[in-house]
Amino acid sequence: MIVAEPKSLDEIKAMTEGFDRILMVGCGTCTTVSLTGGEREVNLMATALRLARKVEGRDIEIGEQTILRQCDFEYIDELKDVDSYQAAVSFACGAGIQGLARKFVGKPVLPGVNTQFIGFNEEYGYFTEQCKACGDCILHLTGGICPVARCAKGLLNGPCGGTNNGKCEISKDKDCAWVLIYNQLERLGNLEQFKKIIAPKDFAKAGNIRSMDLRKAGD
Amino acid sequence: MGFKEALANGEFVVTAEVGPPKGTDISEMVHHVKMLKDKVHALNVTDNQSAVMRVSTIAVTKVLLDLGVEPIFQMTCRDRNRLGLQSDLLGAAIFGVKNVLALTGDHTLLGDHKDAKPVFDLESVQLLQVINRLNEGFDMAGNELKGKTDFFAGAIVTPEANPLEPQFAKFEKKVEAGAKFFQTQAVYDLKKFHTFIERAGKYNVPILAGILLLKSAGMAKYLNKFVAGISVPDELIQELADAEKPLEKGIEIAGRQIRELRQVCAGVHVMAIGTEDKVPDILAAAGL
Amino acid sequence: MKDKVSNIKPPCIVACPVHADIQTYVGYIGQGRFKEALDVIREGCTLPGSLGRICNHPCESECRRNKVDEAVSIRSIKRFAADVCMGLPHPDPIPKIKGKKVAIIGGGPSGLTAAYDLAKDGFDVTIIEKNDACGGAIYTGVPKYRLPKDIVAWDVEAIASLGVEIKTNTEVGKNISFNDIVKDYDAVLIAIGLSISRGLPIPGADAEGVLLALPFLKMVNFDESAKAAKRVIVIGGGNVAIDVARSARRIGAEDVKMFCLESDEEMPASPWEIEEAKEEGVQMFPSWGPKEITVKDGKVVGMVFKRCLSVFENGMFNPKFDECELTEVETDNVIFSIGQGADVSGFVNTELSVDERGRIAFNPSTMQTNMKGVFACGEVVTGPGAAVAAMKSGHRAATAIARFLETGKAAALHLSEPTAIGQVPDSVVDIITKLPRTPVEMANPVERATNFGEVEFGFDQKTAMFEARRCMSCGAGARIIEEKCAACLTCVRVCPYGAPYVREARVANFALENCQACGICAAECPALAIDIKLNIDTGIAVRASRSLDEPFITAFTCQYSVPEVLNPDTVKTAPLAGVNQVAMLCNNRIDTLHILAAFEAGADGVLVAACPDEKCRHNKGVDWPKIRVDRAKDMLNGIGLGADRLEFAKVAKGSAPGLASAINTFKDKIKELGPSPASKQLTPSK
Ligand SMILES: Cc1cc2nc3c(=O)[nH]c(=O)nc-3n(C[C@H](O)[C@H](O)[C@H](O)COP(=O)(O)OP(=O)(O)OC[C@H]3O[C@@H](n4cnc5c(N)ncnc54)[C@H](O)[C@@H]3O)c2cc1C
Ligand code: SF4
Repeated sequence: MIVAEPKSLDEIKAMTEGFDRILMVGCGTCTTVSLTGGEREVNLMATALRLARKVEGRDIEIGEQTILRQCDFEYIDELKDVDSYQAAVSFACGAGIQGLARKFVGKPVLPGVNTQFIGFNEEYGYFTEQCKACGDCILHLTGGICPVARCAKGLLNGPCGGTNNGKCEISKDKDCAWVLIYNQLERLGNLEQFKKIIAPKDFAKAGNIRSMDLRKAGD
Repeated sequence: MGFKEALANGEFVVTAEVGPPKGTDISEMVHHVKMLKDKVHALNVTDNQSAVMRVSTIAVTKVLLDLGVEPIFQMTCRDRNRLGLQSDLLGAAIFGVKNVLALTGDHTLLGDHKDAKPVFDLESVQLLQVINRLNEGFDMAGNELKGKTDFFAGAIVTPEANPLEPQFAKFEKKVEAGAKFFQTQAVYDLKKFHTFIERAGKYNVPILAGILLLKSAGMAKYLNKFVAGISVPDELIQELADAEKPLEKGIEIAGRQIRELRQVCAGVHVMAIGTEDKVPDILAAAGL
Repeated sequence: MKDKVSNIKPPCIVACPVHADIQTYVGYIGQGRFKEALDVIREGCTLPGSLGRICNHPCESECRRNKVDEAVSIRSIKRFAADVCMGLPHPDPIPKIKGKKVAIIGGGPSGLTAAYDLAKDGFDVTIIEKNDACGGAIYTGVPKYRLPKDIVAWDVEAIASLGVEIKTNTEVGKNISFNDIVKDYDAVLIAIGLSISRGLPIPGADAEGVLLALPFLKMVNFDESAKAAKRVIVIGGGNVAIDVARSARRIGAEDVKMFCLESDEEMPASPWEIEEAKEEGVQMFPSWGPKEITVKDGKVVGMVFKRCLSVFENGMFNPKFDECELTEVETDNVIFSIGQGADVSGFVNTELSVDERGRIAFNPSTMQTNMKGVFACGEVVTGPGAAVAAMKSGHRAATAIARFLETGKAAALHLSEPTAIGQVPDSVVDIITKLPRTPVEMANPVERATNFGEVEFGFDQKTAMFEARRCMSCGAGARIIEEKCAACLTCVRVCPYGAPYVREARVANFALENCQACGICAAECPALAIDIKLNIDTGIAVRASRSLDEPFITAFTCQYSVPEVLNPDTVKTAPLAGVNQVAMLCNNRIDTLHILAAFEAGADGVLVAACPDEKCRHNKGVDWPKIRVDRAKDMLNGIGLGADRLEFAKVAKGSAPGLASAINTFKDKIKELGPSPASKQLTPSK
């Protein structure tokens, strides 16, 4: 799932400055699950923003709507009265925010969250990054543990000198992915794999303006 | 005699390091280089050490060459992608740099520009392969070079890493990738180091043991607590704590250890950033 | 939202024959809302003062707390609700808008209940009662030490006050004819109960000193000078027999022995009744059958019993005796207490049919007799039982009559019966905070056996409230709004009781058996897809035009955080002064959204007064209210109101001083901070 963190109220205040009719749009999929972009957060942010404006001395109107996904036009089309708003704040991931922007032609669509990563829900309210969407999966070589996402340096051939008691040099709270990989490969009886040098990654596959076209086969 | 040749001849090789300054005034650095010039076989030039921004390594290696000192060009993968790394290597080569130490590099979060985007397009093992490829006359993409390099590539290893196994496996990979010599993280626990040397022996690559001057018991404890792969045994800490003049004690310990290491490895690499002026004393204490 | 489990109810409610909304009224008592509790009670249990004393409370046997520790003392809570409200005026009359007249023959529990329902529906109801007052067997039969007569009278008055006309001292067949009634009314309900006591045709049964239960009890109830002989034998093992025996003790019998066919374990009387009788010196002789009464000079002198081996065969009454094992007991009185029969003499020579047992024949599904527009209910059709069962029958009859009067036809009643929530799973029993049942105080056995003063003392306000708070609010917890659920598993992760499950259906479901209605999940669900069935008071008052001179403060508390000062006019504990209290289901239900909403409604400050950890039964290690307050504080800083305007305090439940002082300190602080900059908008300053 895509994990997003809430933007601070200060930031939302600053970017909505000057608008009196704002639509806040929640996303019912990933960001709801990551607890930051569902109906609850939209309600919370809307109330907070209204209050903040009141403190400044003005009353503004905020519409609150949450749709199933903001990365599909069909769901975005379910939004009501979009024309009556001056701007929208989207609580979806970056994809959803941009999807919404296409509906709001000529009006600003602002991000309500900071999209973080593709993550795993470890326990209530705690998410960890697991995948960088590098476009060139090597999990079969690394015991099912992704060094691209989980090693601070994205190393492909073993731990750096900073590894310390199984922890990463950037933080004692973070596991050294390469110690995990080593242990897992050992458990799998596949330390030979560890010894093989993995070639530099083809970062072209993770380049910009990526798209995927599954329609070609039908041509 | 050059660094590579000395190792080939089985001499006990001594290297030390010089840190490029933050700023354009290199006078103090030049002073240190001159002081160490005749005491060592080569001087490592660090690369934005600890992820702290300084003068570029390549420029400082040129200064060393002009002063008549053989540099070991430390190259990390943190700040340049594969294009930058290769072009800097070619640049170093035309200045006459022979020795390269391939490193991954400390993370930007450890340095003074924590908000920087770390690169790590390649990493140490892959960089060693790239260097060998350049020596063969090709770049990474397989394009032929107009004039090839002749680098003597080395790498680092942490003999007392915890856990050691993944680190050792990586050491093996570095050998396979073309590392011709190793410099190590500071060693203090000679027993552990012996075990490592025994295991590493079969690969037949010269290993230069890292020496880091202990200035006090407090520093020793700090290293134990915060620096990866360093373990100062309790006896040494006690020795320092008991000493009236801990710095002199530290020099004595370093000298003693170098003498012992002479029996087991190809040389020593004395790391003394900030205490460069003590390096001659250490070497004297070691009888070198 | 469709409520898939609407007909699943707490077992107390299911077990209660009239399905009184026990959970709601018990909850109200816990919250200090006594009058509201009484109103809820009356809807099901129309005689709360009386039943609060004598109900056999099947609800308590089924209470799910039995598995955790002990049942909630539901009956005593009901009694408290009635007692505390006795000073209040009775309800106002209901306008008789239906324009139809109903006669109810018999003013016992069943007839009174039907009268209550029909009067509330707007029918013109008249009760025709042969005695000098209504109440039926609980008036004439149940002894005063269990149920004082003024309590019955109070219950009856409340029904009369709805506009029900009561004609006492009017016996059908004697003072008024059944046929006339049928002519004069649009519908008639026969609720004459069982007023004849049965005896046994054994030798000596006609001797002087042989008595029957009901006349005996009536005498004890209404004849101040009634006296018993020294030695009394009571035949029978039911509750009536116990009443007879205990009454006999009170009018002078020193040696009271009860003989019954049933064995110790089979005795039909309620265990607590047997216990109380024993305490008062009544001796029990189970497994003996009456053989003959020894008579001398036409007077009872003793009685012979034969050993009873078994009472039932295949569930049918078919006693087996050992005729060789006999015992003879000397006595001065024998009182038969072996059952009651109907007295239908007032209906002879009418069209009305009587069944082979001498009860009124009727169709249980329409409640109608063989005569159109003539219905029957109560024990005269169901046979003997508990008062609350007679009430159930009264409710059914009222429904049947109302439908008849509206459609002109008696149709079968299809009243759906609720099903009970299952037992608390073992794993949850372990987690639930144990709270022992509050004992009900009783008069000293030696002393009480000498007079007719009430044996049982009711709860006082404090104990009633405490006992009510033991209710686990079974099934009142989380409900999913399926369309909104994102199957995110948040509820699964935060629930301390393992109630939610998501995976099978890809949408959250809540195991009612596990749910303890703490509200944690509802305050965390990111999709706002969880509703709590029992929302206590989430309405947050708006500062309409209150002046800005006095701080306007909202305090979120647990539903039970109420000071115990009673307002006699409303029979409600006094609301906290100077604060707008929002009572939540539990501290754990307090949501960051609620806090911000309070500020938006104009609050100058918000106090979250949570119960101390050890006092909150749902606190299982995570301080949810604190977490939510912290988030709100963060936001308040961003909003520009400042975190100072929100305070988090732990205040003991029901402790007026603690709560009041927390409020006052906070109020002073807010006074200093001045009115909320966000509320200035609402009230233009003068
Ligand atoms: C001694 C005793 C103790 C009991 N203890 C309990 C107890 O502790 N708990 C409990 O739950 N239940 C108890 N019960 C049972 C309970 O009292 C009955 O279930 C209940 O009263 C039945 O109600 P009813 O309306 O069907 O009949 P009744 O209560 O018998 O009412 C019938 C009414 O009809 C009147 N009537 C009869 N014939 C005529 C006529 N021809 N004209 C006019 N009026 C007439 C009678 O005077 C009476 O008022 C007890 C019963 C007895 C006898
Ligand atoms: S705990 Fe409350 S709701 Fe549950 S069965 Fe007992 S009285 Fe009824």
